[in-house]
Amino acid sequence: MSLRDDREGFGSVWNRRWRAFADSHLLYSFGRSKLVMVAAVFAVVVIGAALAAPLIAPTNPLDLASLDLMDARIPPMWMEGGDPRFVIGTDDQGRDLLSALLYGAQVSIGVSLCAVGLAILLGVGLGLVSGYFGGIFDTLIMRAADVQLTFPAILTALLVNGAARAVLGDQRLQGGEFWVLVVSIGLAFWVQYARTVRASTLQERHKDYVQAARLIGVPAWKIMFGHVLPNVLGPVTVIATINLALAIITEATLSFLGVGLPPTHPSLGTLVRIGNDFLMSGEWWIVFFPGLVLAGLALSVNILGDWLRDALNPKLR
Amino acid sequence: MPTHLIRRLFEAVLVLVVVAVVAFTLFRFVGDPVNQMVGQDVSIAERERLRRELGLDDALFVQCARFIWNALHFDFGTSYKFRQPVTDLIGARLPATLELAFAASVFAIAIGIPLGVRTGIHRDGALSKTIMAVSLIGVSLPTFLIGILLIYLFAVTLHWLPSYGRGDVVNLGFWATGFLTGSGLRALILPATTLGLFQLTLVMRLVRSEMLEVLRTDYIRFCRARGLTDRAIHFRHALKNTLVPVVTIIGLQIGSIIAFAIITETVFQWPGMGLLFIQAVQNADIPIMAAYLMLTSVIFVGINLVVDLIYHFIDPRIRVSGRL
Repeated sequence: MSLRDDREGFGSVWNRRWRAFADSHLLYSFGRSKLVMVAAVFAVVVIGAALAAPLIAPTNPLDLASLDLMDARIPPMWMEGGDPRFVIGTDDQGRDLLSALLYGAQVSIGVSLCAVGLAILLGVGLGLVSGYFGGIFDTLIMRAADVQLTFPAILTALLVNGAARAVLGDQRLQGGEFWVLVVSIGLAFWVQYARTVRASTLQERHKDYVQAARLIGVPAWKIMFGHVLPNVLGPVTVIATINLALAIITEATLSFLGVGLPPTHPSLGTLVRIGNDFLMSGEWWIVFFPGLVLAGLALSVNILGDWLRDALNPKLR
Repeated sequence: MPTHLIRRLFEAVLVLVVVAVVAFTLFRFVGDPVNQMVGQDVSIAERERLRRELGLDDALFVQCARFIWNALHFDFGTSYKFRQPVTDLIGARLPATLELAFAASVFAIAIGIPLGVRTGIHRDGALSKTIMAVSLIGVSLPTFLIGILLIYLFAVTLHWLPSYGRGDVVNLGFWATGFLTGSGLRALILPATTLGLFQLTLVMRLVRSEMLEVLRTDYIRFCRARGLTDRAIHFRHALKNTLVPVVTIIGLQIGSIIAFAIITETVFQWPGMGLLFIQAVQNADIPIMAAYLMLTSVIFVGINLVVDLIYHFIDPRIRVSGRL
């Protein structure tokens, strides 16, 4: 390290880090693929618009008092019978579809992010314990994971959902649907994280730094979360991105099946469910726009996940 | 082989026991079975009597054993909502789901394999690239959106096919089949396509990548040197060697076809097990959920076991190391 480097200020450290990032394979491969760039732009626009829904939505679709049934099922404004107040039309309750779409995307993304977060928390925690302690913990956790892997995720989510409904009952469920969804999807997705983290923890456990920490008496939980955890998180980010797309689809599917969010507080899946009832009578826009946003969001997050996996995997370069 | 078989069987039974205990826990502790069965106006003494009759006062272990014993005899109790034995309800709907799953699998295999061979042979052709791109979109679209899209195209706009139900069915004893009537077959097309599309893309991609690998090998080059026709090389020599993993994946996918039938059946109001299950989830009808859970787990575990053993049989390399 030269003398000049020693005198570098705080700013130039970040400058150097930024340059390292700019030179990295990650950014290079991003610039190489038009598809990835389009997907990134689409995902950022949808997620940004969803987060800013209260600011940019023309009306508040959650305020039931402001709805007028006279406005129900108006087509998009460029069609005959359209109304300039409702850019892409209204649904059967007279809700402005654009506003419902923005708020719905917010709910969908919120549920999916929380569910993936829960799955990571659960999976990474159990994977660490399983890999670090081994023995009976390992056997129990991994057998449970095996049993769960026998079933498709959607089935697990449906079962947890049904059980939660039975425990809570209809009255207490009111308003709690968001968290019931988060728990059902989170519980359906933890296995993959647990397996990955366990495998890497098994490798890390025998490395010198862990042995050294144990030798000087650092408590087990501190070694696990302070020392091992940062070293096993790499693959988790990739799984999380791909899982996010799956979580979005799963949430939409559950809502579509009628066991997700209620029509008074719709997510994208609920909007598709509502629209599906009016497809037969030719009111295609109620189902078309939520479906389009949903498909675009899932597709673009999927593409981003694939890109991240390929870019971070040195074997594929 | 015998040790492997016994270990696999043991593991399979273990999984089924765990699932049965989970199902029992659902049945016993999620909501009170007695309250679900009787109305508000039934006296406490009456409830106690019912409770004793159902054996809910026995030790938990005994109850659990009885639950599993009954399940082994296809007795899953009475539905809270329909007030009918769950076995009858499921039995009446099982044929519909199995026929749908069968049609979807046939569709996926009959179209997936030729497409996979085609895209594998002409990997850089414009048509192959288009097929691959479309299949990526197909994988990312949620099943229910594909179903809705098909309904809008072929039922609402073109009026070619029915959008819901099974059409006319013929009763063959306990099995009501839709395969024997025109309307039954027509009603099958859209749901089977929706359900099979994901599996189709999976089979296609798998066959493609296997073909790419096999076509690079020496024996194919030797076939060319012998002057065999392209047709003979591609279908007699190359395709045959891609089929082992394809058969495995198709076997394992039957489980997820049955699970995804829940969604397809809801979109098309197909009167099968999946629709029954989703109604049970909506109504918190635990006996149906528990029975469905156990039934599907028997199917899944059975398929896993069979596929594993077949694999073991065909591919000697696995016998040495074990698969997991």
